[in-house]
Amino acid sequence: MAINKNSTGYTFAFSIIMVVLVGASLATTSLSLKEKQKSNASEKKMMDILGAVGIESNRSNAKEKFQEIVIERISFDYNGEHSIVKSDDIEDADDPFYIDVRKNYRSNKPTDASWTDAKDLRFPIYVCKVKDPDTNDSLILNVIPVVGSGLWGPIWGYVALKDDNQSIYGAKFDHKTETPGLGAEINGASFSNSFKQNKVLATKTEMVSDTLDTLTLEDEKKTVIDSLKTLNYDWLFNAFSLENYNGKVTDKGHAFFTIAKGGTNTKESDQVDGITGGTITSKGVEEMINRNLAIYSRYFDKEAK
Amino acid sequence: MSTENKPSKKESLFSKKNRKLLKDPLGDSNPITIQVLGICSALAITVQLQQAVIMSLSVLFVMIGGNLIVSLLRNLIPDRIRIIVQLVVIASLVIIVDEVLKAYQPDVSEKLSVFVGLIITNCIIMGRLEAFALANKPGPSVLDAIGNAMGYAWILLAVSVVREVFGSGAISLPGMGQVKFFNADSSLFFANGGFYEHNNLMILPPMALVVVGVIIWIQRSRNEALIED
Repeated sequence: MAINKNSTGYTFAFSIIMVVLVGASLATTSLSLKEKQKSNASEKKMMDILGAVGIESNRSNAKEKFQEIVIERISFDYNGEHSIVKSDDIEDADDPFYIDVRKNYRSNKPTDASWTDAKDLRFPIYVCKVKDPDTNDSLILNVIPVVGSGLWGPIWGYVALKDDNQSIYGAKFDHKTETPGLGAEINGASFSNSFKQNKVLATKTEMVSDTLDTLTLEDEKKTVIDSLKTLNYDWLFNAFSLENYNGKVTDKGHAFFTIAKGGTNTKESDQVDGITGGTITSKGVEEMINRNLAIYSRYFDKEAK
Repeated sequence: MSTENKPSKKESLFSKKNRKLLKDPLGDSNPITIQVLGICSALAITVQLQQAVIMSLSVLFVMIGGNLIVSLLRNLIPDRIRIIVQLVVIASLVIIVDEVLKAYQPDVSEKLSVFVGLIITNCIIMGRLEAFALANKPGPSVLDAIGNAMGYAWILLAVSVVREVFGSGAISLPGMGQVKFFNADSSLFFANGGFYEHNNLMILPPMALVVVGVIIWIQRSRNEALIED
């Protein structure tokens, strides 16, 4: 053959043709499988939400059960306002169901205590109606998604609150790359079950009184007291701020919920056991629950008013 | 010896030489136990049989595809960029596998997570492309790919069966899910007054190394020629 395989021109031509062919074939594969992958992802999401309210489902019946159990899908903004409520079939792309909280968290990682990075985000709530297994009464539950960071990568979950928005009904967590046998245990039943045992969140009054104890400046105290009236909870974030999470400040304020260190026998009602050997993952769970609850409590309090 | 010693113009696809390509990697030149390649994934994803099956099929597909494509292109690939070309071929095949798994085996795909992507860096594949496919015709190259992928696969399957049976008391196959041998409230279990407990150590990565080690031990005690000084 007359072509010199070692010439620069040949090498370039070969590379260009190769890249175009490979690019085209990958794009085709990706496009043709996209629908299927999307529906897999939303089935998984439905299963997780149902799991948080204690309902087992699998990929084949997830959609059916989801429509039966989840009666409303709500979204609201950072200030707990401008809510949208949907209750019919999931159709349009702006449905609260399609809010990708993990993607939102990834591109708006908290850089300050009150997560101002999330100012432009919307937050979803899934309102579920289930039968209480003990009393057979129907219960209305608010399932809220939470996302945060574990030791190696993202962790996320769903927390189901009873309609007082204070008691926890159930929870389900998952992770991407936590250490197997240690942090990865957050997706196991033993960890999520510990949330079911009549755990309640600390009330704002409790949180305020504890926070006031730690504050020394009169101005700060006044801000906190005023905030209860105006429903402005920026101070709340301080109780479990990033600094707290990173271990720089330890006993500042009182969080909604804490994950206790091992060996703590007497547990408050707002504490669950952490995972031995998975301290950073457990702390991550605590941080993500509290950071999200601070935002959701704005909405809940405005609704209650 | 062989019945046809004369060099024939067209070698049969299943000549003795070609059969050797298929057979050797299963035993005396096994990529995992003898060449000790591709160990990382072998240790990481052998907790359940279904993961090992899917992983083996993925590697089989990537190896056959990679060997075939590179062998077909062997006279066209410029020498100076041959490694890059091999990488591109492997990487695109792996991405296709990953996408297909996400669409049709979402649960297994989640468990395999990064390890599907890491097939790209699996030394077995790169090694076979460089050592075999670049210098051989497509037919033998495909046989070589099947041989090596099967050599990888049977170790994976063996290790995962041992680990799943003793670690979780169950066996799982793709599409079937995990089948447990006993219920959690079975009276055989220690917690319920019995004598049996799942061996949690089996689930942890070090045990994969031990099981692979046992296979290597058995293999070398049967064929002492494999023992190095």
